[in-house]
Amino acid sequence: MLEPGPPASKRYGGAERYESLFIVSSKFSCSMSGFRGGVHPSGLKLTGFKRIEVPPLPPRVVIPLRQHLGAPCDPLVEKGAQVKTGQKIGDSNAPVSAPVHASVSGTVAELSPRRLPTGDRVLSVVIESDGRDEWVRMPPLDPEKASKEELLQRVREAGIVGMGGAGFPTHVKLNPPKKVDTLLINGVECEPYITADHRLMLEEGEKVVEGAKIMARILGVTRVLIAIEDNKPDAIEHMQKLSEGWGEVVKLRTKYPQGDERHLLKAVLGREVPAGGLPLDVGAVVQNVATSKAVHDAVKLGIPLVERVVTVTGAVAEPKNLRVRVGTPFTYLLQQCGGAAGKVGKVVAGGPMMGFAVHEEVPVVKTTGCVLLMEEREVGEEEEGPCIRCGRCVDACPMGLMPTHLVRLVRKKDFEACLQYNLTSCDECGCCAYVCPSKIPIVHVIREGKKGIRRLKK
Amino acid sequence: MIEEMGVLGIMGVAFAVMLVVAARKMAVQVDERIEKIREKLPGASCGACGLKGGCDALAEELVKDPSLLSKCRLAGPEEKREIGKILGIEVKEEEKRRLPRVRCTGESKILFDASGERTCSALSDLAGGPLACPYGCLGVGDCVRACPFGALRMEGRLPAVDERRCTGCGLCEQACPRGVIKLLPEDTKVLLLCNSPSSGKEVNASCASGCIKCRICEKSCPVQAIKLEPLPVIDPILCNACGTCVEKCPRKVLKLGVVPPSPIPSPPAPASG
Repeated sequence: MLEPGPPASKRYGGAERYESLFIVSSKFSCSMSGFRGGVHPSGLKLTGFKRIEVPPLPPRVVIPLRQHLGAPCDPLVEKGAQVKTGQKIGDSNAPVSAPVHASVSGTVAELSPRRLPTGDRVLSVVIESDGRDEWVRMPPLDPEKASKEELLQRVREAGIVGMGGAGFPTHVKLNPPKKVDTLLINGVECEPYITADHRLMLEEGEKVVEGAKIMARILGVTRVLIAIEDNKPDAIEHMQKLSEGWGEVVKLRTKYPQGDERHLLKAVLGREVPAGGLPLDVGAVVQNVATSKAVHDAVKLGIPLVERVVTVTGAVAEPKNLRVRVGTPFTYLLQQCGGAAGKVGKVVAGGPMMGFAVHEEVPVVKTTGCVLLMEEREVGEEEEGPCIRCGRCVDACPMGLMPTHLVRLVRKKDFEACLQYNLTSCDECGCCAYVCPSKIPIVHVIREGKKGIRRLKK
Repeated sequence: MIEEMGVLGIMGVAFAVMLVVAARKMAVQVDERIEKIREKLPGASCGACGLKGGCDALAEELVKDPSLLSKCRLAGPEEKREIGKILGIEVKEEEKRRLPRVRCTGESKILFDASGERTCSALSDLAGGPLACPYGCLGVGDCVRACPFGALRMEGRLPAVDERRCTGCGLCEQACPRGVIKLLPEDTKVLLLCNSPSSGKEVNASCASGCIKCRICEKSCPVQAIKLEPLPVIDPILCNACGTCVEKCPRKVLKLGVVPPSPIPSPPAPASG
């Protein structure tokens, strides 16, 4: 709703009282959450006012060789090798991949498959820390003088991936095959509990802004928007001050799943990404604020992506925002927060809407923004009831799908019909399962459907 | 009166001619063989042949491609020979009846209580599955639901096969996301009760039984019929069912096969739903 079209007074025959509803200022706009569906879960941002803390280094880290979407890396070190913080320990020749780096200095203790927070088992490098934290850095680049290719290469070498959760390699996203006109910095953070991006904007907003400038230069765009939901007024104010003169902060009405780039584009620019398409099909690139900060670090300081902010929250003694090294085990994070408060029902990597329950020791990876402890009484399994065709899931689905029908089709194993009903457009935001009064595990069923469709295509 | 009769008579003749012409011109060529073949097929429409339309579809496809006959797992040798006659092909000697065998002891440790969609296929992907063993039977019964003949039921954590009802259609084998159920010839002499190719160390850590690749069966076999690759594979020709391996196996994952009872003569009506 940035371009409001003809003034409301003209469209509505001069009826003045409608004006406040339809006119939005272009400089500081409050978008009316212009995407369909969505839900309003309680915010539960327990850690919104807590400064980011830096805990002592963990004694050992587990660094998976695939922390991104795309091809896994091949290890560049062997068991027993000495590594330094920031040293590249895995890389791949595949076009969609990102290298990984040692996040502490020490000795490679093991090379073995380990579980990721998402449940996959991936070959990982286990490093025993020597406690000295000796760094190797890349030479800093001047973003004004360096060429676009140099900057892109640096983003790749630093192993930067989308840190909002999907983990798509950033250098691929910053090199679009089509012309783009807008860079959208995503500071929405719409999931309950998570405050990592919020605190990052408040405490290191300058770096986020610098990173955004570098990415805008790589993309060759002049229009940079920073989207933040209105449940973070302090961040909006702070980012507005910092972006004065070159970018624009867009304040959005809080709604889940606004942080999904498709819905964000619809809400901010009014552009709808076609089914099966990408944001660059509508001339925009969306990057998370943490990714933006990582780009700044890589270019200006020569530091690869080896640490990130993680919100440790829920039923822990003291919920905190922690800046930790990639590969830090979850149990170490929980120790830093005083352990569990109450009886733990589930440990969730990510937020409560889209996160993954983990059941064994897993490490923080580049995409882990939150570790959430849920008490046993919160996760008590409810008996699934029959679908009563209330249609709440249809109303809630931001992609305009019919979850109720899709569930029926998947359970009938009619995957061809699922394809016709665009099951593959589902981005598993979980709104349908959140509103379902019969407690049908809709997302899980739809994931089954995707598996069935993959089999069908083979 | 006569006028009306004349007009109606002429109209009648005219329509009769039109109908005859239309019937001749627009006649759909139906292969008579399809109907005959359809009669010989079992009629359970189980879907084991892989065609969506059941026995009707198979009959139509058979006329085009007689080699599909082997896809029907239900029709007996007698029926197949007759269908072969209609199609004008030679039907080879019927292979042995095959039965589903559950290759798991159901003793893997349980890591967590999985919630969500209660199918094996969905749970198998949930953080690597709720079992410590990534190859073991999940015990949720996708195979039971897949069986159109009601030949499977859950007994504890494992499915049990009612061998009299089983037609060997293989739908259970296809339904299992982990390949625990496998169709084997009915006279297989020694059966293996483990599906895990993992090393002995891993199996030991995840399961109370399960093959630990100790090679005792391979070494103890008096006729050298067993090879580990990585699970024991028993040569059906060399094996003389002496039972040495079954006795020596420290994990008791080998079992002597018994020839099962023959199936109920006429295939029962498919279970509804």
